[in-house]
Amino acid sequence: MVRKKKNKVKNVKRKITKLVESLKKKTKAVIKKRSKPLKEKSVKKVKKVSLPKPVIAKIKFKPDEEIKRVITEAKIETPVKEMQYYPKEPFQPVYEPKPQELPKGYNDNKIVAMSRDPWWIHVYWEITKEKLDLVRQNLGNKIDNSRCILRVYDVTSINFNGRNANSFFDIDITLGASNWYINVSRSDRFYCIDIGILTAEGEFIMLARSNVVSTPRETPSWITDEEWMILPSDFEKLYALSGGLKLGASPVGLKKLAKERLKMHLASGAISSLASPVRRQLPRERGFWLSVNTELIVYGATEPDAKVIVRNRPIKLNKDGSFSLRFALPEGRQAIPVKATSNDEKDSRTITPVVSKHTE
Amino acid sequence: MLKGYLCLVLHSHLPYVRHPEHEDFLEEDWLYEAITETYIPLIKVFNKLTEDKVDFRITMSLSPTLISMLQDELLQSRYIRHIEKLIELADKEVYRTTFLSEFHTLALMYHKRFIDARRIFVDVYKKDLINAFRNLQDAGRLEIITCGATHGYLPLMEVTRPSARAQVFVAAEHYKRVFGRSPKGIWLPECGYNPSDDEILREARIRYFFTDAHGILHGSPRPKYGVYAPIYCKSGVAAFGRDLESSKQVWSAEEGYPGDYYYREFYRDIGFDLEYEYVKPYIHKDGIRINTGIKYYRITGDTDCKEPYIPTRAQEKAAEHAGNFMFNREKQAEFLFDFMHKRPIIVAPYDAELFGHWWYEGPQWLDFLIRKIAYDQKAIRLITASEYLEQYPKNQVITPSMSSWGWKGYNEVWLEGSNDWIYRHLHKASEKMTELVNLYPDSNGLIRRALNQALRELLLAQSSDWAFIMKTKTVVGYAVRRTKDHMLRFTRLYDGIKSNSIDEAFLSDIEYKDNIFPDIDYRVHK
Repeated sequence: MVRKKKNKVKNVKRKITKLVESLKKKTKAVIKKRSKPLKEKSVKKVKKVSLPKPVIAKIKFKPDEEIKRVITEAKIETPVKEMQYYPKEPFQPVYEPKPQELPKGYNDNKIVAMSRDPWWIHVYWEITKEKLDLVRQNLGNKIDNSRCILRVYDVTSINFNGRNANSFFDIDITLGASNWYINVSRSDRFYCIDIGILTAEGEFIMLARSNVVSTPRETPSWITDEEWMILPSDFEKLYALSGGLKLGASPVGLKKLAKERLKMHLASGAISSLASPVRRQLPRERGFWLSVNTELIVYGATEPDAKVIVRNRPIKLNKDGSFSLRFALPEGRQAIPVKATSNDEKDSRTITPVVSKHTE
Repeated sequence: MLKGYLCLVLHSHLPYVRHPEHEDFLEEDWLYEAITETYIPLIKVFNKLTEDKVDFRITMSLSPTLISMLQDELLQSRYIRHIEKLIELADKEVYRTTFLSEFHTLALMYHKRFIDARRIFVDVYKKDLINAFRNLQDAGRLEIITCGATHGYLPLMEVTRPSARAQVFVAAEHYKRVFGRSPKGIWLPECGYNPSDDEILREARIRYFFTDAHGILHGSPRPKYGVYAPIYCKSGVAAFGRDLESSKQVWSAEEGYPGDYYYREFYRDIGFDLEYEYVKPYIHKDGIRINTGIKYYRITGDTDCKEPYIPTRAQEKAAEHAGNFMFNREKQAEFLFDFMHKRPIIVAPYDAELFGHWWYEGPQWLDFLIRKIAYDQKAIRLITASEYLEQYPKNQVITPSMSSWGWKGYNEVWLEGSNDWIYRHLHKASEKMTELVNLYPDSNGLIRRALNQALRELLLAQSSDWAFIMKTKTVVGYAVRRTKDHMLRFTRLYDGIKSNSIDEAFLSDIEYKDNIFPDIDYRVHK
């Protein structure tokens, strides 16, 4: 607690020093902007004040938005007795005209790859018009019948230099798509992707090359280590247990188990604080419908300082002595005795409305 | 005889939602609801257990964004406004239900709960619930671990490693400031691990993390003990795998406990059910109906005709389910013990918000479970990951496989048609941030402020929640806006710094709005 208080005091102190500094700076800036002379003396006075409020008084003109804001901010950090739920004048975001959009591109020539799962890779790219024009120019009439492609290289266990890939395949794309999901179908491999133009003669002009990306394993590793040796049958058992799968009577093989495990992951749905794991019932398919409920309002007034009891429960009166209560009204006859007693307990009155509801 | 250990992990996180520029902001309710329905009920359970001298260990991750919100004065006072409104509504409900005895009992229950929540929040913890968690940690009951600074999803930062590093380092620093010690472990956001992320953890002196089951099971070489013993990455950082069997019993939409017909129905709230004018003061000020937290029905069954909730009946169910869960863990531990010839650790992580918010009886279930484990059996004991490591320091060295606990187990939730557009912007901003750090190995004054704020904006844009919301199609507009706003703010700062023309008014404005991590040092982004 003490540490917290100290911190708080420190915070406030720091805040104020910061505030004074920024006010000094801003005051100067404002002076320049408004070309209104402001004597150094008044700035010095600012230094002495402990709370930001008097600062407004010292600066003779209406403070600019940002000064107001800084002051409001400091107020929140300052312990105040009165509960303050929000800055009294909600701040107007004048510095960010909305809505703004993000740029379509960053004037880059690049392609970036990310693996989505053991079988799919996502790439996004950006190729500038200049780069494309240059390539087109160089190609001359070879550009006719050429195609835009993604060339997907398998670069597992090699130091890729552009020519030594284990294998590759091409995908026809439109440049304007700007991103693509590539089905590589193989887990536990490394890939590198070029974007480029393939001419009718089979010449490939690379526009950009991606980072190397790997797909995760979809089954257990085949590598075991000697120190931590485990029998294949035991591992299979353990794998099923770890994956929350029921053990079958006969061994089914790890591959199948891995598939089962994946299926379970599919059924479990996305997990996050912002999503409910509790199933929501889908609205029933039905035609026209109607529901009717009734509620009753009992209201009245008495002396503001009187005590009022409704159905044996004291109620709170409004400042003017009025009250209003609401009741869900079931079928049948209901009595609602309202009893008021004066503050000195000398006078007392009871009124009992009786209401009956009947649905046909 | 002791056969094994159960490691319960509660992951608590909410994205940073704080809008001082608006008087009333719908998404801030996520925090207020979680305080009333999850954090306070959990604190009550843990405190009562401590008071009753029940021995227990729970691992809890508190994301830095959540901690920052719980310690923010503006949000704290807004929570008080929120709970006071709820008390007022519950009071009206007590009258309104006078002639409906089943509902009347429930209205009284809510009224009492809300008043108690206010008391605990204001009187006991002086508006800062982190005090409660810190006390429980200092008492040796909770092990609080950290998370990504803003819950950024690390596997999709493979091409921007400095950002992954910043997520971890900012979080670790923040933890030290809040809890006065270093975090022993980390909950990787969305349980997302990519090989070599552990190098960053080692550098930040974090000793362990958790992965989903297949992170370990598909690791190489083969894990001798499956997910029932930790492994060491080559960096020396330990990894614990999630046990799917215990997860499924709680999480599963089909067979999980929370779907029991006697438990409270989440989707029938008076904010939607009651007459408009009556609830109007308690819903969104633009008149949008929202959940108030007052719910009168039980799940009942696969029907629209819901029956009133009966708390005592639900409590019996929670006790029954706790017993069932414990029994299954005992059997599991006994089997594994014979199989492994050592005591297994069964790791059962859940989102904390499941307990109380989604699953109303969750905190009760946890209470029953902990007490039963302490008194009703001898086969299992609760443990934290770090305690297990102390007992079993010798473990196999394995490189875990890339994995997450999201749908399908990899990156697809955060990388699909609805949200893949964000990465070109996030990656670009990350590159620019690295460029700025290299340009300004040291700085002060206005430039330093701008650089620090640039990192705050980048981190805030990286919250995995935005991509998640885009995918699940809940409040898509908000998630898109947040991503764009932080990116635009970042770009404007970057341009200002590069052209030596920082707009101080603009900077002050966003320092005020995005005020997270006051002590951030932009140089961690490298």
